Amino acid sequence: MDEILVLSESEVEATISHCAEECQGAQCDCDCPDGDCCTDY
Amino acid sequence: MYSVEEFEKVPACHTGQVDGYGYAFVAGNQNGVTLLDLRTKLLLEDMSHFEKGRDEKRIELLQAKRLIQPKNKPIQYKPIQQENIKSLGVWLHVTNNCNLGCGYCYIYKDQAAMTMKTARLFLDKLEATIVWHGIKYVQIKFAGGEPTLNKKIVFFIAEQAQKRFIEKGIDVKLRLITNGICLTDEWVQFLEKFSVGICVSLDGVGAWNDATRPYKNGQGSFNKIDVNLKNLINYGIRPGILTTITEANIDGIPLLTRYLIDSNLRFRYAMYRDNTGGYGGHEAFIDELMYPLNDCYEYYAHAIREGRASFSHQLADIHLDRKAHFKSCNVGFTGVVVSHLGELFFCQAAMNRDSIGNLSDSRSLLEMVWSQQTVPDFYNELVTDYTECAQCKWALACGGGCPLNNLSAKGNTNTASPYCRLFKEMIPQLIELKALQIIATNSQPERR
Repeated sequence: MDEILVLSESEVEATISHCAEECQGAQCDCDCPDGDCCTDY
Repeated sequence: MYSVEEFEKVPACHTGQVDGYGYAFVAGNQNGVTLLDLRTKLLLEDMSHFEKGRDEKRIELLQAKRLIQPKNKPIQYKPIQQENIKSLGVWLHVTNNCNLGCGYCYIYKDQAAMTMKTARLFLDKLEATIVWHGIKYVQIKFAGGEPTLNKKIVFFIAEQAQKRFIEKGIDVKLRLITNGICLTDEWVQFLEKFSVGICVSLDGVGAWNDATRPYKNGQGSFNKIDVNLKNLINYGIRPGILTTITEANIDGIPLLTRYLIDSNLRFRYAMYRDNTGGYGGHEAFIDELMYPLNDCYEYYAHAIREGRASFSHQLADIHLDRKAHFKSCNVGFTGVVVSHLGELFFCQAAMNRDSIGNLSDSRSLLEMVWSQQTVPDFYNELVTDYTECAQCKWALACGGGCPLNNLSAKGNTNTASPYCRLFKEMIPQLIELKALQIIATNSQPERR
């Protein structure tokens, strides 16, 4: 039997930071890895 | 019972292979990057390899991860509607003053700062907005100018946010956007007490930073920032680093990359909006950017493999999170800028344009944002409507890029970023770094 691997980052705790679920996606910008976006010049 | 012929790979699905693993990513997919065994990757890319009795479980998992879709029912991502918005982001410009003299700064600075009266007006307006729209999540970014130069107001708003909102169940996140010069122990204690996230601007190591971020008298700022960053780390605070790449510091980016990754700091590289002079200028700048960014991601890959760093990086407007970005940021939708004088603006980079309201206005913060005319009809088109972006598999990752950058370079907000070619080149590398991070985090992943 083959070994099957299908593992998403959503299942890997603390792998990659993400924002609160309350943000609801779409145009929300608060989930950037650096904690901030749109601060560029 | 399904038939494999009923399914197809999601058209926007990107696949790759690294270190003996396959991986897949669809912009907007809530699962993010997915690590695959090589047979599952093969099957995803070409379903004609399906073998009965061997691959049924694979098809089930790929469907559950929304990497394949029924041919007669394609997966669609939809933007959030205004009436469903429960979050708000506030860029709070607490002072127009700064102790640095960065040549590229878009703020027309003076000594003026937010007063206690304006801070109270802001809190009242924020509370009214929360109640009116049923807001549950608020992010307040203390910015300026240099926000640490108005300590009294920053501390006051943090205390009030705790009492008026957080203790009543509103999830309020505070962030300090600073140049890192004034981060005394008192500020460190403040960050800890109120769980304030911090982002520090840094454009290079040593003279590379000082070329673009000097004190007003021309002296370099790096040494002071370096000491303060190390102090933050010693306190267990992990700042995010915000870097603006210009033609003045681009050759110093490889050195900065090593400094940041070796310190395991999260960081964002962004490009200066206007120094390249229109679309043609951006194209030439993209060519220059290829080397330092390729170098960065190569170095990052080594560090992740060796367990020396974990991937925590953003490039410009590229969002490889688990959300669909129909625009590149929240400007004009769930984001608002409040100036030190209590005026509201469309974007912090548009504070030289007409305000969109003020704190004395009877409307909520969101109502003022939604009726803004700084960029008329801004939200009538989403990235999936843009002619240049509609068929791009990365559209929901970059959202078309910074709308103001698009406007200055191409005369239109609703179009592909002038950095589009760079984004397309770099996104696959960023996805691969995420895959490497999953491999590193799960060196012995659960087999199912």
